[in-house]
Amino acid sequence: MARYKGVDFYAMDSLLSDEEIMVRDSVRDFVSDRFLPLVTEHYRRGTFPMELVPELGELGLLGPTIPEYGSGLSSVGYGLVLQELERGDSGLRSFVSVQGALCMWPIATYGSKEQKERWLPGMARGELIGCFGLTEPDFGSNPGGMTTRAVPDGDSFVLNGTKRWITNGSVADIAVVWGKLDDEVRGFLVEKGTPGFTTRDIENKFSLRVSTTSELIFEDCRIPKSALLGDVSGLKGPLSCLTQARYGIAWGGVGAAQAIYEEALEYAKTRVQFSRPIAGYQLVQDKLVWMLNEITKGQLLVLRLGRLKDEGKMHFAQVSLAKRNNIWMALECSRRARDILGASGITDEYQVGRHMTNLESVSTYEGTHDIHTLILGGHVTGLQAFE
Amino acid sequence: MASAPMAAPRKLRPERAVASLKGDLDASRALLWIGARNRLSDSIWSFRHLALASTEHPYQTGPGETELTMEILVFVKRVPATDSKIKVGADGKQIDPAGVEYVLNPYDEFAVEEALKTKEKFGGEVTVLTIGSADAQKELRTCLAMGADKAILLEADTSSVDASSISKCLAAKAKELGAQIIFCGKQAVDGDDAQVGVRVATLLGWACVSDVSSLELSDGAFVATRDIEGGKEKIEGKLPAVLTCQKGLNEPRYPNLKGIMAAKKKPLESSPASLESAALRVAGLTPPPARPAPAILGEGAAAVDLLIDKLKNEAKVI
Ligand SMILES: Cc1cc2nc3c(=O)[nH]c(=O)nc-3n(C[C@H](O)[C@H](O)[C@H](O)COP(=O)(O)OP(=O)(O)OC[C@H]3O[C@@H](n4cnc5c(N)ncnc54)[C@H](O)[C@@H]3O)c2cc1C
Repeated sequence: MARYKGVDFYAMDSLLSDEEIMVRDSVRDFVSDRFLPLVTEHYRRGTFPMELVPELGELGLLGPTIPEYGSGLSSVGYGLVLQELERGDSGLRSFVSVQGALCMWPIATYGSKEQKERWLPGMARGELIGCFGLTEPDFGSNPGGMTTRAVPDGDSFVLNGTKRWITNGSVADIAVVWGKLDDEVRGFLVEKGTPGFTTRDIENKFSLRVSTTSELIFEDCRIPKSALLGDVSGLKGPLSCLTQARYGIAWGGVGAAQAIYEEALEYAKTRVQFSRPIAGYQLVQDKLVWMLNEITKGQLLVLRLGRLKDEGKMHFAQVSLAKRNNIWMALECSRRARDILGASGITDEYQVGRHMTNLESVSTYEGTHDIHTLILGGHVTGLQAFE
Repeated sequence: MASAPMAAPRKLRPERAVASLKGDLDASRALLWIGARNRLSDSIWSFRHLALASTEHPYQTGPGETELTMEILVFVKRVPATDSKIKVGADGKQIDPAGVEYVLNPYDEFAVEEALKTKEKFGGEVTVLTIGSADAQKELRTCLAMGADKAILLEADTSSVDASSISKCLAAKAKELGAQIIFCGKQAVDGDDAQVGVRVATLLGWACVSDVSSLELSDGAFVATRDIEGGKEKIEGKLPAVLTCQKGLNEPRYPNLKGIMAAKKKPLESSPASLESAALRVAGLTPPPARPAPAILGEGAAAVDLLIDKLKNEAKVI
């Protein structure tokens, strides 16, 4: 099979540095050679290929933009990494987003020197895995209502509460858990195996099957006071992490959409109905052109966002717009592509069904599509639709 | 592939310090001394002491400190990607470069990987060398990103050179660099000549094993395995040597992010190549004949006889 080349209708490559292109191509080859041959089996079983985690570390994909521990990669370079990972599967990209943006980033940004030294090197190598516990069974879009609580007791805190829908929950060595201390949201680093901390996996998912999703349960879980992320309090803590992760997700959407578009285009060119390839019919062309059009717009959006991020000028509302647009765009591409593939589009012999169901999760997590509408709505009108 | 160990930090290693005392060693003797170190069982201190005592060695790296580096050289080439659609150019002698994507010759990836593994095991320095256009800097950067220390581009228009002139130029450069072991791909997938490695070894008077699919290096000697028709051939020899690399030898690593970011700071020297004029020239290129449209011969058992007849008399494969 020919090497996957991605979609570059507007010669975007000429806006990238040599390093950015090299990084993208290296991750692209890794996904083609190492990940894609495994994905169908893992999708069927509902497991993540843990054997690839050390390779993700060796490639330098875990926390590459974290000062001191990363490689000094630009934000665009990091975005391209996530784009290529999500070209493989949203589960693979989720693993890397959670590890880098949701766990290593808050430890690097809000953690003490001891916490950084303890966790970051091993996490960068993929020897230690992290998870991020914000959502609760009764508090999703409204994390401020969380009921998880930490109560000081001597030189420890006692943690009680339940987190749900936590990516990598049961495989993680360290959980970044958000809970209230004196009615204020704070971050805690809870180690796997701490008495009173258990996990339970959420089985039988339609979506994001190549990813572990778990519940974290804290029952009188005693953690040392040194486990507190000292430098942040309030919802700003978790929300600032989400801004980092959403940035990467917006790039990921472009990757998934490219994979889907490429598959649909190939299929349409070779599938003959009536007298010619279905790609020759206007209605099919309309769908393919819609995809190319939206992918190209989505690419330009994230490229600009990445340059703003490197200039220190990125606003969280701009991130909301990119996440909202690009995941919607990818999901719409997947629906059109699924249609083009006809019956073939409902088996796992083709990837579109896997991407389509995955993107339903991606559309919901890290702020649902509608919550991002409301964030933007509040930003442009000055009137908040929710507290 | 990615599970290969990271490059060892460069520091004064006692085994190299001892080797450095022995004057102008060739690679085989250097490796012999690495082997000898275990038998000597001296303390690190005394190796260091010996190293400090040496002042005149050509490999001297700083005041009072010497370091013998194993010079590992890799020949690489920029070639059209194997999935490129190749068209013959207007002159009928070269390919039309329009729309062709270029990559590092796939067999050279095995050579670079083996060089890096050799360095990781024995220490030393990996230099990648190519003759070609300025565009080949891209492929050299890829090698640097994989972990090579230094790249050299000998710039030349290679459209009218032959394996002989290329080999002479490479051999001269290898000598100038003091190379002790050379890795290259078993062939470049553009010309498929498979001549350069063997010719360079001949010019240098070195041992050469082609099509190496497994290699063990130790004490200045090697055991190389090559695939031959229906089996394997194991060859023992001494360094210096040229080894041309075949698939199966290793799994080339992906350039990692750190390597890619470091690559732009590594030296990439570029100078004009002095190439002899070629004794041979390409008289013409012919694309493979267009494949005839597939025909359906029939269905089920009825088609079998016809199929056998076609395979025997038309395709002549049975
Ligand atoms: C596969 C997967 C992995 C996940 N991984 C993690 C993780 O690692 N860590 C973590 O903390 N969380 C994780 N999540 C949880 C995710 O972030 C939440 O599902 C998400 O925030 C939405 O919350 P909810 O599911 O409770 O939906 P709800 O908040 O109940 O929303 C349901 C619907 O109501 C709408 N809605 C809610 N409020 C409003 C409003 N004010 N106005 C209009 N509409 C509204 C929403 O847009 C949505 O359509 C994951 C989820 C999934 C599916």
